[in-house]
Amino acid sequence: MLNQLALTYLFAQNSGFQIVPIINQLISGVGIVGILLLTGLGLAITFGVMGIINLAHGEFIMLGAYVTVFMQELFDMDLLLTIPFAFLVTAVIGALIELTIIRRLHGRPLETLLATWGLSIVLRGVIKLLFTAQLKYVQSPSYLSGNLKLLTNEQGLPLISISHYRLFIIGIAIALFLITAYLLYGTSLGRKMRAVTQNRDMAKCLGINTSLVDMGTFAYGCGLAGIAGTVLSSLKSVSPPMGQDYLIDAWMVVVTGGVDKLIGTLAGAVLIGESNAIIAFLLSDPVARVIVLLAVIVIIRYRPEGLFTVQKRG
Amino acid sequence: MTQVLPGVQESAFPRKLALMAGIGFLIFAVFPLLFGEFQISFLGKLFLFGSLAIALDLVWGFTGILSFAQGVFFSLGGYAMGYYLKLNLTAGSSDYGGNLPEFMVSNGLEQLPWFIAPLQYFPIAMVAMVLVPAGFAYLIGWFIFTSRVSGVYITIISLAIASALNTFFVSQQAYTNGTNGLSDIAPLSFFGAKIPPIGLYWMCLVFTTAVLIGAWWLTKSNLGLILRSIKENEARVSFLGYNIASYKIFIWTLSAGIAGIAGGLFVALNQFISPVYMAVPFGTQVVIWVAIGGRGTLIGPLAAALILGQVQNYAEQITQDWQLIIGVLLLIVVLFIPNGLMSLVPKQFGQAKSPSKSNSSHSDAGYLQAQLVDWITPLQKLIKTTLTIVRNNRPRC
Amino acid sequence: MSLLSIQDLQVEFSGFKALKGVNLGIGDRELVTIIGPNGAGKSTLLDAIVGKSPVSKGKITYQERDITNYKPHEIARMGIGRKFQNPNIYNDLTVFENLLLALKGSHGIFAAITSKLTRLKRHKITSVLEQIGLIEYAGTKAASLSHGQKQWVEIGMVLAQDPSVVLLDEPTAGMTPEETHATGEIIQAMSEFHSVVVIEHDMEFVKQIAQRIVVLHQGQNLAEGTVEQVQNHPKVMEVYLGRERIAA
Repeated sequence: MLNQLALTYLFAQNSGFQIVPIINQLISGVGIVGILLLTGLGLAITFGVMGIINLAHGEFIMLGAYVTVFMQELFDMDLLLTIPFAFLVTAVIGALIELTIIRRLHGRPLETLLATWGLSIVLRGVIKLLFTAQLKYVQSPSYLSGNLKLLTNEQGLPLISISHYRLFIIGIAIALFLITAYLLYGTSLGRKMRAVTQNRDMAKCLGINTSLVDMGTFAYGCGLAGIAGTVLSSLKSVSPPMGQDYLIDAWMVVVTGGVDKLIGTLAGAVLIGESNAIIAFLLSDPVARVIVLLAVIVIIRYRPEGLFTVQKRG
Repeated sequence: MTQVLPGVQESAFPRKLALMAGIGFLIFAVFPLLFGEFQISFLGKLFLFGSLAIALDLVWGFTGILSFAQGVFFSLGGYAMGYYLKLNLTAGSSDYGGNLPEFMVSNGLEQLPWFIAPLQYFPIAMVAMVLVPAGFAYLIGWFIFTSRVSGVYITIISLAIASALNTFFVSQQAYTNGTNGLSDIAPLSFFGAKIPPIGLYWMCLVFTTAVLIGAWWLTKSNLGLILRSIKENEARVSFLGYNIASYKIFIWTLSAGIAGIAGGLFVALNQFISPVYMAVPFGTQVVIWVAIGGRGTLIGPLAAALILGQVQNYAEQITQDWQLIIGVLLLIVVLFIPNGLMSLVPKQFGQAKSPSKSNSSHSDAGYLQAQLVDWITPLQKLIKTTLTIVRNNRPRC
Repeated sequence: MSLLSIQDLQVEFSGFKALKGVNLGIGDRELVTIIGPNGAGKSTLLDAIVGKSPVSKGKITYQERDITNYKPHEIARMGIGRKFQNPNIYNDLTVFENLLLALKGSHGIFAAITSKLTRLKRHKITSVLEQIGLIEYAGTKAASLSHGQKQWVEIGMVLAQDPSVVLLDEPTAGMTPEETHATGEIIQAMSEFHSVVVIEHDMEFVKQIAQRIVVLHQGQNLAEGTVEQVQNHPKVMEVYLGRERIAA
């Protein structure tokens, strides 16, 4: 909260510098950061940890959203309660896909890329067959509606505010981030996951069931995408191509942050989210998108290992 | 007298292949005379898509750079032609007066922007049709190929480029007419005489044939050998004294130039261009033609574009789920027929391959079978395990 | 004056010093063998010469020109050819095509498009094939060759480049004793026309070919001389004692 002095400064009409919209923009940027982190996290597992070029990531988000739609249509379930279902369903589908597709293309990144792209088309098509192309709407729980007012003017109208739902998104994103970080760095399961990706043969020799670990890791990454789908489903409408919007963003976050450490994904999300919000405020939304995309291209060109990683021995 | 080397091909003129190609060309040149205008235009478009696929094949199938941005170069060429035709229509019959296209007027422009104005002259538009996409490709190529960025990242960059340029063209309403693109444009004419559809079709056919022959000649030369080596192991080629970056930039720029001309002809035929052709889905379409037709073969992608285009045309009248079919087809090709459907065609009809006995079983039906068995095994295992678990946990009475 | 001379060469990988100041001079048509325990920096030295690993300090001079940190293709064009430790050839190409790719000549794009397989080129490739004894495999895909034959193809590629300096990284790795011996003969024949640097582990083979031996240890020069001189060198004995029997 801002103190009284700052308030009077803010409302000095002659200051000529409008700080309120900028703060608003920064706060809406925080909302974007939450979304980016949520969508990027699953990819940080499948690409960051496993090195799988997964272009069907957006479709797992879409699948999660459809699980919520399905549960709500059938049982009128609360959105929060559908989260475990979304996680499970997408994780199982992910495991099956790892078993039938990803595993067979091990060590051939371009083929994996192509196959997951084909998969993304197939998933979109199947969902369209099952649920039609019609836009679906998800009810967000009533207790998450409304805004948190950070600053109001004399009439009591909000000047700076953030919706409860955005806060909820950020909360979920950070919670998942911490859980994933604990899983990866704090448990023996995580050590196995990293061991398998760093030296598969050695891990095998040490008695780790590499194919099970592969399947589990991929399933977990897909499950995270599923949760992202549920949480994001009530922001916009749910439709088969919705995952495409998130795919490129998720990739940009992971690539910018670097795949070395999970913290890179958080940093990437903050960097992209906030710079997007600020440029959008100064210029316009599409221009911000173009500039951010070009910036990411430049980052890949000069630091393919990401901004927030240590350079490795050549 | 040089010793005869076993299995080394004397570079002779491929008579059989040339004969077949010639017959094919004649059939495609004469046969459409029986068709209606719509079918002629449609076939012409498919040929242009075919040349687009060949252009991508040069970059991907031969050099190993998978790009989803082929549609970007196609569209840049298309917009160059589109502006030329639009400006020439408006100059003749404008309701708004002046020579401004209606969308510029409605978006508050009072003057033709300096970067669009020159396109009203035919020679400049023709040069721009090639040089804008090729120049843009050169810039991108120079930027990314001189770095240590590896294959997959280049593909991701190509996705970002397609996405960024699409967003940009959509957002610049006043200059590009946004998502609506350029429509209601003048027909292409030659010294004041409108070119009939069959004429445009022949132009497309000749262009595609030229692209096919040119690409065949290029890939049979030493350049083809170097490109294939870059694909297999690019670091090694540089230790033989080749500057890999310049080769990649060359083939990438050439491919973009071909795509640009194809785009220009497409607009003349189609009378319409919009940012849809820049976006990732269209780029994917091109990738799919090459993947299904067969990477590294030239006829394959062309045939795939022609056949899939036709099938799609009919299929879309019956089902709305054409994309699903395409996705399944792509998955099958990647998993089981990595060299594309062309590799299942008996050799003598296919691309003239090196005559040595191919030891890699990559291209025959046996490989396909092995792959299928390989694929089903883990599934069987999974089902068996699940069944065992279920059986063991069955409540006993 | 040496054809290729290396002065106080240092190579560093983010803090780790792989080479800590190596000096080496190679004369025209001289055969130098480099030995040393694992991690001595032998391959890194070759990497630095051909421009694969960036040099942090020191100087590489070739034909009285400073070529330190030039790009790999520039160095290759000047006439330094290299064979890698594992056969690094093109499995998808035939043996003939592998050699054609390596053949000395213009490396420009235009030249590549217009070049024809002239009688001269065929002759040159044929003579390389004869040298490496793979003439009947000319049209065979490299993928189907044995490990030793692949090593020969790569040696052939270096020969086809016709460089002034040939760098061979463990050319006999994975070869049978007969193949190793044949390789030794190829290398000795080679050294009549080229300066040759060989990295080797196999002391039998070193004895077969060696004229002058340079021993590297922990990124530095340890000793230099003939086979006998090196074998009896106290420092060398100390380093090798209990690891590999140099006197085998």
